[in-house]
Amino acid sequence: MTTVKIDVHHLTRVEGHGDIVIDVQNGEIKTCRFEVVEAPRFFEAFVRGRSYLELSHITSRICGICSVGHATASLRATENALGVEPSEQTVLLRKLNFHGELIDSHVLHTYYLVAPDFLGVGSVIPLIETHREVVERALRIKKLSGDLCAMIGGRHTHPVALTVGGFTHFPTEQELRDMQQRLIDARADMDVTVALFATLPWPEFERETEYVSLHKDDEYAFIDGTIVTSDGFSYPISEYRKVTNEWCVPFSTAKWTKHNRDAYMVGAMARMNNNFDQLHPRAKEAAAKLGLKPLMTNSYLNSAAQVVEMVHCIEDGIEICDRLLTRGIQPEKPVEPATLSGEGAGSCDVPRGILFHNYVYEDGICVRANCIIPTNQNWANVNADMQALLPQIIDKPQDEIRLAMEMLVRAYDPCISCSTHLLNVTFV
Amino acid sequence: MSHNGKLKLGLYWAASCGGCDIAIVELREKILDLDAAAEILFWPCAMDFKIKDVEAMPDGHLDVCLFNGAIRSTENEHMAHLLRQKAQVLVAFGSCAHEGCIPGLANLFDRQSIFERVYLETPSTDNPAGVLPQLSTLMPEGEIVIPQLYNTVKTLAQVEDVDYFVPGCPPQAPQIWAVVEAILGGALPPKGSVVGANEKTVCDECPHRREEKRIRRFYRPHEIIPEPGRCLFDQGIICAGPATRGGCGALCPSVGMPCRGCYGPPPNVIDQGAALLSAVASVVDADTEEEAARIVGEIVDPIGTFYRFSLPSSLLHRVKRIENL
Repeated sequence: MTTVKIDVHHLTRVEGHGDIVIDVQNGEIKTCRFEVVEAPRFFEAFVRGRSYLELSHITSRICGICSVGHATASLRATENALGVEPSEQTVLLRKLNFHGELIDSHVLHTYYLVAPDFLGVGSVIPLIETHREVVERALRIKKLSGDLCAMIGGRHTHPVALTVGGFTHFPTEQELRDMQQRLIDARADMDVTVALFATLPWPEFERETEYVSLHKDDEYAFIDGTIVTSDGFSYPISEYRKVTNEWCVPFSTAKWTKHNRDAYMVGAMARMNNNFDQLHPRAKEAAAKLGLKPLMTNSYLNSAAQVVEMVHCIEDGIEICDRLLTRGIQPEKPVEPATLSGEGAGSCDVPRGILFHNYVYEDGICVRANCIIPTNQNWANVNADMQALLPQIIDKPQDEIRLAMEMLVRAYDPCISCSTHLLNVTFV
Repeated sequence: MSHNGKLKLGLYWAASCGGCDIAIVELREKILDLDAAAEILFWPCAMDFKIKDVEAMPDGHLDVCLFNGAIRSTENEHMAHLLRQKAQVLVAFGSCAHEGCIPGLANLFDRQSIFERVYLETPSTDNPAGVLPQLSTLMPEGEIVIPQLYNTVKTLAQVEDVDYFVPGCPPQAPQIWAVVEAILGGALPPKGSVVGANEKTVCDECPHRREEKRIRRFYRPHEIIPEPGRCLFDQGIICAGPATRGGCGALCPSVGMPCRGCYGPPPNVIDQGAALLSAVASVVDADTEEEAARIVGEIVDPIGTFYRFSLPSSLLHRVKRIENL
C-alpha cells in the first residue's frame, strides 16, 4: 500500500507564503491541505482614521503586483460612497492603466513562474542561458506594460496619479500615439507567446466548480459591472457579501469564502468561462490555438487563459488609445465628492480574480473598511482541487506528486501577499 | 564570492506586498546583467529553494541578502535572524524593512482590536462562533502551528543588526542598480548608511518652482488644480518633500501628487514626522493662535499623513493607549 508524507514547507514561485501538507498512510489520504502562513497586514483595521483621498494610495500596498487593481477598486468604492461619477476620459485612462498591469502581472506569472515548470528548471534564471530568446521576449513585454502603467499612473508599482474623481497627471497625445504603436508592435511577441504556450503539455485534470467574475454585456469586464457565477447567480457589486461569505479557521490567518458550493474559483479562467463572448476577436483566435473554450474545468489551464487575456488587453489597449486620441485628451480637475459621508463598495477583476473594497466614511474619514482579495476566495477551491487530484496521482514517485501539487497551486497565481506570503509541500 | 567569481545573493520577503520583489524584476534587461554578475541562491518569490536549504548553508555563505518586508510575526523574526547568520551583508531593502512603511500604520492599533475588526466585525465575515487564528490547533492528523503575530510592527533593524538601508516604496530601479554596482565594485559606504538614495531632500530634485511659502489654508486635491510647475506645498497642498530623503527623482510631485515620504527622513533627521510637522509649522501664515489653529486644523489625519511610512521607526514607534475610533 502507498505511504506518502510530503510537507512542502514554504512553497516557492508564488507571490506569497504558503505550505502544502500531504499525508497518505497505506493508500488512505489522511491529510491533503494548503496552509497560509503569511503574516497578514490587517489593512481593514488601520485604514480607519485615514482620509478618503489616501485610501487608494494606502490600499495599493496590499499587493505590489496588483497595486493598480487595488487602487482602482479602492477609488470606485470611495466614489460610490461619496457620490462621484468619473468622466469618460477618466474611465478610459483607468481601463488602459488596468490593461497595463494585467499584461505585466500575467507575463510575470506565465513566463517567470510557470514556464520553468515545463522546461524542467527551478526558476527563470537558468533560462537566461538555455532559452535566452524566451527570456528576452518576456522582458520586452514586461517593459511595454511597465511603461504603459508609468505613462498613466506616474510610476508602475503603487501608482501615484490616480485619485478620487480622476487623475492628477495626463499622458500627452504624442505619448499615447507612441504607446499605441508599441502595443501594435507587441502583436508579434504575443503571436510567438501563444504558439509557445500551445505546445506546453498541460497536466490533465478536470474538476468542475463554480466560477465567479465580473460581467458586462458590452465589454470584457475588469472594472465595475455585475458579479456573475457559472451556477447562474448574478448580483450588483453592492451585494458582494452574498457571494463571498467569509469564514474563519483557527489554523490560518487567511479567511476563506464560499457561495453556492463549498468552494468557487476566481481569476483568468473564471473570467473566460463567464465572459468568453466579450473577448476581442484576436483573443478568441488565441484561445482556439490554445484549445480553450468554455467551460474550462482544468485549473492548470488558468495560466493558459492568462495568455489569452494578455492578447485581449493588448488589442483592447490599442482601441482605447484610438478612442482617447479621437476624442482628445486634456487635463481635467478631479470630480468633487457630492458628500463626505456614506458607504460604498467597489470591485475590479484583477489579474488573480475578483476583488472587493467596501468603505464607510464619516466627514471624509474612513470609519469602517472591508477588503476581500482574490487569493482568499480561491483557498477553498485550491484545497478541493488538491484533494481531487491526489488520488489520481498517488502511485507516482513522491517528487512527481510534489511537482504536480506545486504546479496546481501555482496555476492559481496565488498572491498570498494579498492576504495578508511562501509555499512549503510537507509530506508529513 | 562563489567558485565562478559571482556574487552570492539572497532575496527575502517578510511582511510585505511583493512590490519590492517586483522592483527587482523592474530592473528589466539589467536582470540579465545581474545574472551575469551574481548567483541568486535564495529568492522564494521566483525560485525553488526551501528554508531548509538556507538552514543548511554555512554561516556567512551569502555575500549579500536583500531583505524586504516588516517584522510582523515570529516567523518574520526567525527568518531575519537566520538570514543575518547566513549573510555577510544584510540589507534592509525597501520601506517596510527600513522604516515599517504602510503596514506600520497598524501600530496605531493593537493586536486585539485588529483581530476583532478583521475576524469578527468585518461585515462580510460570517463568524458566529468567534473563531480567531490560534497559535496551535489540534486537528485529527495532529497539531497545526502558525506563526505568532506581534502586537507591534517592527523594522528589520529593530530585531537584527543591519548593514545597509535601501529606502523606497518601492525602491526605484535605477537606484537598485546603483546599489548592485556599488556592491559588485566593493564601493559600499560605512556600515549603517542609507544607500540607493542621495544626501538631499525630495525638494532638491523636484522640478517645481519654489517661492517663499506663506500658507493661509491647506487644500484637498479636488479643491484645487495645482498650477503646473509650481511647488505643491507653496500652493497649500501638504507635501512631505522637505522632510524626505531624495533619490526617487521626485516622482510623485512630478505627476501632481504630493510626496508622502516613502524614502524616509533626510540625512541627520531622526523623526520624519516631526520634521514635516516643523516644515508645516514654519509656513503657516497666521497672526493669532486661533488662526494658526484653524489653518493647521485643516490638515486631515495628521498622524497618518506625517508618519505615513515611518511610524514604527519614529520616536513615537506606536500608540501607547488605544481608544475607540
